[in-house]
Amino acid sequence: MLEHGPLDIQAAAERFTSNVGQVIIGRSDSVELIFIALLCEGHVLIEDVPGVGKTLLARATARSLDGGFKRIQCTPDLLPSDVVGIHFFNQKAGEFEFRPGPVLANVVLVDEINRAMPRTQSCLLESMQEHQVTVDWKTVPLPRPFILMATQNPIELEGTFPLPEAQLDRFLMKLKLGYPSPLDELGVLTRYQQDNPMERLSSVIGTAELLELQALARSTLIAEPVRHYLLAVTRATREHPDIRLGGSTRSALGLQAASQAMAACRGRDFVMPDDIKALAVPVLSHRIILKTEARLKGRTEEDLLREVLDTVPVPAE
Amino acid sequence: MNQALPRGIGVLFVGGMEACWMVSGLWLLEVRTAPEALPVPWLVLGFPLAFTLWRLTRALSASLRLSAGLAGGLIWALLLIVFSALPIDALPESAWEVGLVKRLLQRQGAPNPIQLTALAAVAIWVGGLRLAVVRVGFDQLLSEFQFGLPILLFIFFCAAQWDAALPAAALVVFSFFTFFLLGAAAARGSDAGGWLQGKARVRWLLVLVFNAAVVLGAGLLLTAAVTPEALKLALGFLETIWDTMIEWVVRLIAFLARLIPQPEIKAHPMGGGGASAPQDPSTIANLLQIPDYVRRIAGFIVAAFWIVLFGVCLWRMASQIAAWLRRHMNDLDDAEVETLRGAFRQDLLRLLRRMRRRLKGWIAWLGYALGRRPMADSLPAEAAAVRRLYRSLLAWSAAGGCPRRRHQTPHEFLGRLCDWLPEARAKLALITEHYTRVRYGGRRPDADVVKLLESTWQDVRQMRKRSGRQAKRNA
Repeated sequence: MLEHGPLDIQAAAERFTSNVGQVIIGRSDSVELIFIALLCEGHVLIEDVPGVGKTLLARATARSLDGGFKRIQCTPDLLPSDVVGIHFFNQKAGEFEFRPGPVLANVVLVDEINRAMPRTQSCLLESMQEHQVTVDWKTVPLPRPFILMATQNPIELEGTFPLPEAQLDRFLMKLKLGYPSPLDELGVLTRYQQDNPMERLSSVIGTAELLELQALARSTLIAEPVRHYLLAVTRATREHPDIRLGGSTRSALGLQAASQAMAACRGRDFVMPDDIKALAVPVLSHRIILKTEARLKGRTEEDLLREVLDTVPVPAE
Repeated sequence: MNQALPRGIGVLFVGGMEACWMVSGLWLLEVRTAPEALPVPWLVLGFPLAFTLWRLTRALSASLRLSAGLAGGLIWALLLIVFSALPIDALPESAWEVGLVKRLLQRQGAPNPIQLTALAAVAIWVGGLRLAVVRVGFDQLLSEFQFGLPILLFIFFCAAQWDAALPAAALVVFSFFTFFLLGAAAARGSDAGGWLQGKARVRWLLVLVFNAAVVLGAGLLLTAAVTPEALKLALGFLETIWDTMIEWVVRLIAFLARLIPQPEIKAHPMGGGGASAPQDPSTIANLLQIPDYVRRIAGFIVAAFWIVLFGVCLWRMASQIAAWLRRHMNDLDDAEVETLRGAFRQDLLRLLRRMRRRLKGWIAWLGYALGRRPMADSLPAEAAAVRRLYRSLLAWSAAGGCPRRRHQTPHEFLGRLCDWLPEARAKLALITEHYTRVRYGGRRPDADVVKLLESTWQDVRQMRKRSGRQAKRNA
């Protein structure tokens, strides 16, 4: 068990949170979740109405990391080759050369991902899961760490293509920002009155350091009873009468990694059931599919997950 | 809902309910196995004796107290065997001790009265000891009722099946319900604004006594008035009225029939050749006769149906009464109110879980005693001590009305605990923190930490006692 690891991660988490907090006000919980995703090298889907800071959060995250950042603005005419890159014929050299697409970066922001066609969306599958892209039978590894942050707007559904389950399952977590409180909104207005604080934002974590932190986070202890509890929560989503499709094994793996990272961010070297409870909604909500009857009753994924968490017994005396 | 009843009253009601089914069970045992051989009143006397002994020895240490309780039970059982079950005169003086031991250890055939007396005496004594340690509150009263009622029904069912006439069965049932209803009323009255504590308690007590007297008086009058002769007279009167009515109806039909012209009956040309031959009446009777075993089964099914129906009705009524009581107690600020729905199931499951835990403990102990495997898992002693301490905290808070829900994490439960006992916030947080480190972090605490936690735990209990006393004074 690493004695100083969690402390280092906690310090890094505080550095990251305070740095991103300069531009994103009153969202410390979401920023912490983003850092947890970074520690797990997991991808994040940010879903909310326009103008609440989704893209800003993703950009601030990228700025806080000392790594390559690329942005893909999705539209219906975006092609897979625009994302992964192409081989073009160099007439001077007389041979084909590979021109890498924007996906070959440490942090990739895929803005309004549901506006891209399914063909383009699915070209991200390989990069998200296997950290590589294949172009014209040639496989190109992606730089590490590789984190994809996608945003989508849940209300303007015309001209959009909902993400397939296979792709949703590859996102470690889905975040919803919501409107800020009146006090936070006032703070935003004050801070952005004269200039844009994003321009002053500097990186606080290097990519090499992030890779070390990821290794440290993975060594956080998760005791057997807690692991059983995690599995029980995942399995309970499969057995709930209102859920058509429950959490996958990949989701259990994601929940385990995220809970390890959360424990480390909070200065602990062991996972508690509280971590799993706190992460169950962001990690599982986009991976479950409700039955039509439940949807018609106005129930949401979050409601059902909270119901599941209220039924699964926690391992205590 | 955990309003503690005043100690004496609560014990009286709970003990009364338990005594009702104990007496019925003993009577059934006596009627079935050893007619007039069991000293039932003396056996039941062991119940209050055990209770009193346990209460009197409260100044002793726990181990001494337990030893005194068990020794008292053995002495009591021995006394009952010697002075009641054994016919001493029938044996010569030198041989009666040997005869007693022989009959006590007899292994062939059905148990003899001495063995039954010994078993019953020990069981009732243990029941008395249990009554002395149980915390009597509304929840306990309700549990006793929930479990006592099926036991009583089972005893009466067995008695009906065996054609065993239990003496004073009606009185037992009446007493059982009276104890429960009065206990429920007392639990309601023992809260801060209740009539047992209020200024008008004398008036309410008088009303209660008056009501009880009216019910008992009316019951006595009814039992005195309803004699076989009176019933015969009433039934004869009803029969006469019924016969008169039938006679008038028949006369009316005959009069109406006379008004309608009768059709002429023509002789059939074939002379009745198609008429079937008359059957032997005994053949028809045999066909209609129901076999004896079918009648027995049908009788059993009908009896079981009525008993179940009766039980369901009683249960429903009791649930309604308890629901009403709980609804009204919901007005209290510090009362823990649970939904009654499924309460019986919850109690039953809790009982089964507790039995399973005990069984596991015994099996582990047996394994340890036989040297087959280590008694507990490989937890270090300090870690086991911290977990034991937290378990005590959970049991204690649950008994005080703040149980941990199964889905609550220790930290979530800590929030609830702090609301319940705000003055011990820091101490409860300390215990929870160390427990989570041990439970989820695999830590092995120092002996000093264990000592600190134990003293903190004692402090928390003292705080609760002080706050309880303060609340009573304020009320």
